[in-house]
Amino acid sequence: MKSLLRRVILFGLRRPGLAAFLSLLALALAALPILTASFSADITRMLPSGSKSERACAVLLNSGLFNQSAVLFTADTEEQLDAASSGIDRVADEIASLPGVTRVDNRFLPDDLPATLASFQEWIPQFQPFSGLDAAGVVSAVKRKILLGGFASLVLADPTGFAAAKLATLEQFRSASSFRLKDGETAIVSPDGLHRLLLLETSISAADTKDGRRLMDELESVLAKHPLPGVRADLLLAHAHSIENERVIKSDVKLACILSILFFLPAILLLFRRDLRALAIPVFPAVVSLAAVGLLAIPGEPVLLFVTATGGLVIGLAVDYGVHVYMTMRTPCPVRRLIRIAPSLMTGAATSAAVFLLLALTPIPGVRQFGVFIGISLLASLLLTLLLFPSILIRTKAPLPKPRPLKTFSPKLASGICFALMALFAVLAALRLTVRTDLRQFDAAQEKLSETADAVERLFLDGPAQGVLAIPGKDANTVLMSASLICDGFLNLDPGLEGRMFSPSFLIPTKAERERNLASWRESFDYDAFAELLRAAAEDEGFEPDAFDPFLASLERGLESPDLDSYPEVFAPVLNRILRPAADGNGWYAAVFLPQSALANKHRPGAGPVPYCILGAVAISRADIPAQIVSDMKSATTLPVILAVLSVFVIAFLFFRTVRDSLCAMIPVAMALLTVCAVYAVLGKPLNLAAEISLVLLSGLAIDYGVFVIGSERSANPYVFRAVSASALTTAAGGLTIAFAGHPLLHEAGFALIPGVLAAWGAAALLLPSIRRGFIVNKKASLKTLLLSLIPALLPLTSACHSLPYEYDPIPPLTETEWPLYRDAVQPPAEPMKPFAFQGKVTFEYKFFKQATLCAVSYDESGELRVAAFSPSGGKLFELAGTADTLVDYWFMPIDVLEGHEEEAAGFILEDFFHIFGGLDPWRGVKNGAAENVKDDSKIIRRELFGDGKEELVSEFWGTNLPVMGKSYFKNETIDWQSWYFRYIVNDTTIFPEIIVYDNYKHGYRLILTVSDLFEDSEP
Amino acid sequence: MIPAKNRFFLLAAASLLAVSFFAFADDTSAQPETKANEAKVAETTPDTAELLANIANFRTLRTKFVQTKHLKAFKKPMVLNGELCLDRPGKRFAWHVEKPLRYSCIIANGKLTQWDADSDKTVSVPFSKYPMLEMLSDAMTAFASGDVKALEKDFEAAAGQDGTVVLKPRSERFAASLITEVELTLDDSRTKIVKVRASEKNGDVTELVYTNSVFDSDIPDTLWQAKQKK
Repeated sequence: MKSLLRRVILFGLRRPGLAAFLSLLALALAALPILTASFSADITRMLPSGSKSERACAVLLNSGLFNQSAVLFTADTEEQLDAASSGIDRVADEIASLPGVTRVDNRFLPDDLPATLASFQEWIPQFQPFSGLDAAGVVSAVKRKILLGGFASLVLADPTGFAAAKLATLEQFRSASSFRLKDGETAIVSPDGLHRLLLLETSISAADTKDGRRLMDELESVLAKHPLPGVRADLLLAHAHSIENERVIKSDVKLACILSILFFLPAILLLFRRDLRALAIPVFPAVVSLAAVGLLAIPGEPVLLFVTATGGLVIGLAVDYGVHVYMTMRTPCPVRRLIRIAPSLMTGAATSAAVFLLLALTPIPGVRQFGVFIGISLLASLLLTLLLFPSILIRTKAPLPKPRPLKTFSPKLASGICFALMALFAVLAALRLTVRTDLRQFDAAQEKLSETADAVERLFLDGPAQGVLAIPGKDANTVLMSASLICDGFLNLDPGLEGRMFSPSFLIPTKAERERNLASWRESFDYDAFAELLRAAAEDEGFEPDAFDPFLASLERGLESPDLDSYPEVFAPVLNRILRPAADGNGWYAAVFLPQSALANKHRPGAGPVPYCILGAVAISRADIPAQIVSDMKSATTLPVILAVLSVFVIAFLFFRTVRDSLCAMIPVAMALLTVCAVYAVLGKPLNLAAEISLVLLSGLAIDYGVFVIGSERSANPYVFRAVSASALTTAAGGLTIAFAGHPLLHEAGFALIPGVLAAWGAAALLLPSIRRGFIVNKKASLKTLLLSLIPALLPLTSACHSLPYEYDPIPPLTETEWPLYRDAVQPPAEPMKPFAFQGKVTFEYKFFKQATLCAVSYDESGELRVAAFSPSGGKLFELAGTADTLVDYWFMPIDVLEGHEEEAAGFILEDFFHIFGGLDPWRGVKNGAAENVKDDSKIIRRELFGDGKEELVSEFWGTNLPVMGKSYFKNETIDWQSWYFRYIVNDTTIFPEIIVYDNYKHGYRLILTVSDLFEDSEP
Repeated sequence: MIPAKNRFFLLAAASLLAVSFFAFADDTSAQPETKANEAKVAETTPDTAELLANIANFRTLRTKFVQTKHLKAFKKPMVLNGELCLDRPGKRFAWHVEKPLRYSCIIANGKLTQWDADSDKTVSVPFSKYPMLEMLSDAMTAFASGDVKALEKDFEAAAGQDGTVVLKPRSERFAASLITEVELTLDDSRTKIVKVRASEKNGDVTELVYTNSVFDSDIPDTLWQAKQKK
């Protein structure tokens, strides 16, 4: 490394023009991707990838179920709002015609109710099975209703009362979703009559700030074009959060640039006695950080604006290198001295960069980008400074400032002060420090935008907040089936939920049900005969002969040309919001409303005939998501801090090669971390994600101070005090550039940095030389004392290691009351395994080898299983068929290595698939095994012994009639194979595993199966 | 049972995947050309010869494709969608599958490189290690571009009806053990291929339909990379 750095320095000095040209060229090339980069202010990029909270937020965004786009009209009096009604209708029509607006709902119910009821009749044959229709009875019921005071137009439009009953279901939506409206209003008017809502649907993603801003401008211009006297309009757009966050961060980037100039220029001129060449010091990191933004754009992911705003911080950290070069170049024999200190500078930079690059290991995309940005910037800044700066300074004849030696005290006093402070800070932190990892505190738009959102909730929502289940599926029909099954499960478990939950399946049946209903009507209902009878009965009862013709025409339309893919328009305002395609175009989502208590404690997610979590549904409740974010962030942010501390020690040790000096160099790190924790504890501020990022940052720069000071002690360099002080000053200035930022994330990071930098400087420049000298005198005590002193700085190491690629949702324990019911209810079913067929993919894993393939699998009524596998390119790899006992047929693509082993391989594969798909229901497939059920916390474990008792199948279930969640097979107490079922999908008649992880321990490989298309018959 | 040969599975799986791209790539090295073959090539009728002379006269091809695999023993076909790129002068071939599993296979610069989104692993196999891959590459390029002349030593070509060319494997060639017939459908100008239909011995039928084909355009470099953006 020393030789390389020497060459870099000498090349810069000998060929300054060429060096500058090459550097600028490289930087310009690196910066080029900025031109095509996309920038994002999406706060959810700060959530750990793959975490539950990220999944929940992804569902929230992708489902569009919670798209809060609306216009809220507010009047002072009900009369004013009534007078503005036609104006609001005009606004609604104009908004509906705006590009990007896909739907505007202005009314909860249509104005023309008789027409709605009449057209509704065509859905009768699809929505309910035929159960007899007596013409005379229909007419007499109509007459009775009219005599009792019913509106004739309404009663005649809906003579069977079917439409009225279905519309009443909408009322259930209002009660289950806590949505309240003014009685007797068809428009969406609040119960106090002073507010009216227009609900908007847009095709513009909530994260798309460009089109979102355009839409916002257009909406504002429509509202300005139609002034409504005495009525105020407020926009509530889902895009507003992204737009506001982007605005704040962009203004922060500008502010950081201005502050960098304001802080760094005077500081540098002051430190370097108005030597204008010193102004080049911050230029190197500034240019490098611009190029680093370009590098971030190369992977194609959006560059986070939070990250670019930390450019000031890069300058604050990297000017240290310029400071050291400047100081060295003013000493006698400057080049030789520079070459001598270059490795030390590189070690410092590498240590810091390593700490930041470690952040690339975190599961948080935003933090990863931040780590890579700063890590690369620091290393490149040092190289650029070594290459170009000496040639600028080489002709300096300015007098050398008088060196200021490092402060020294009595070693005992220095150690005493240091350890007393650390102990005090550690105690303060332990007693008072709290951690708040909820990311929503960093949403710059939260406060500003929550006012209108709160107003809508206050005005239109009443009663306890509802929980929502977002249910995914490949199409509308699949999510309806899942929703129906899940609701049945909840109702079976707690009949008290009747009327307190709502699902789209309450409004419309599944396609298969529609087809069955329609078939029953076509089979048993004679339309012509009924129409004749109805007309005759109407005449007998004194109605006009054609009084029922609109009803009959609608019914006939429903029988002759039914639309099985659509639903009544009157349901659209509700159904469009709770049953909709995913924003990314992959699949659909349904929302089921139910009390939060049903999602939380009382009902286990694993309970009921179909636990919602195994169908991929995500519970979304205001209480749960923040808690989940907190939990995910805790586990994702603790490890980087621990790793940062450990890595700086390792790198310091590699440089010093003595434990004592390495531990000494860690003192500024420990002091900086403990000071920040203590400051937060004393101020009563919780430690948040931004502060934790700053802790990682502090570890990187505080070790620099430690390395410089210990290095100078070893080489008797008298200039280090000034250099470390200048370095701390510029870093604190870098912290200040972002501490003034408007965005909470940047502001917090800057705020945490400043006390940490000061503490690290104090420990390094004032205390460390004395402490080290003391330890040199008393070598025996030094190591033990150092180790003891650094213990308070260690934070508990918490990490989770998941051996499986998927996770189950947590299952609450089975209570003592539940257990006997579940144990006794579980019985082996009598019928054999049901036929099935599917297409999907299989990922084959063997040690470090991993390969995905496609597959088609079927199991028919004769008990024959057929498997075909294809490479992802479509080439068939093999096809085989057989029963549980016999291999019937097989074919493999001819390859040398398999020659002669085809039958054997086919037997293994067949066996694996029978292991996976055999016995999916409780106790199915058991052959004379001695079995017992045992309770294991939240699960029911079924143990079955086979043969002479040396083979055992252990199956795990989550409750009565549930599909199996895991199976393990043991031979002679050694595990032979294991199969886990992480998610199930629904078809019309059954549920089937969707994600399966199968481990064959005998041969040491793993199969991960994902079912993509499940077919109803057994021939895929 | 092969208890001590777990690596066998790995090797078998890797080998299967490497050669599975197109089942009808022939092992020409194992069977030197015979005079009988040459004679059969010469038998091609003048009409067919004229037809064959006009197709596949392009430099590059970029096209979306739908590959439908009808399996004899299964009712529902397996359908793959993706994009295919051919660079004949550069001897490059790219096969990007978008659904049901994102996958890419690039044959270029003397190696075959595969990537799939599920495993996110890229595997490269040089031709020098597996010479058969070079033949595979040539065969795939010939089939995908409709370059019948390049296939004449393995297949007999004849002009079919409605702008089709029917290829039947020569009985002594390896392809004959797998394939009964390959039918190439041409566009109205009888110069560009729009569909490939391969009937296999076991009753399976594979159809490859091209849509939005663009000829002789520059193909972006990103399409010659196996690993695609997630």
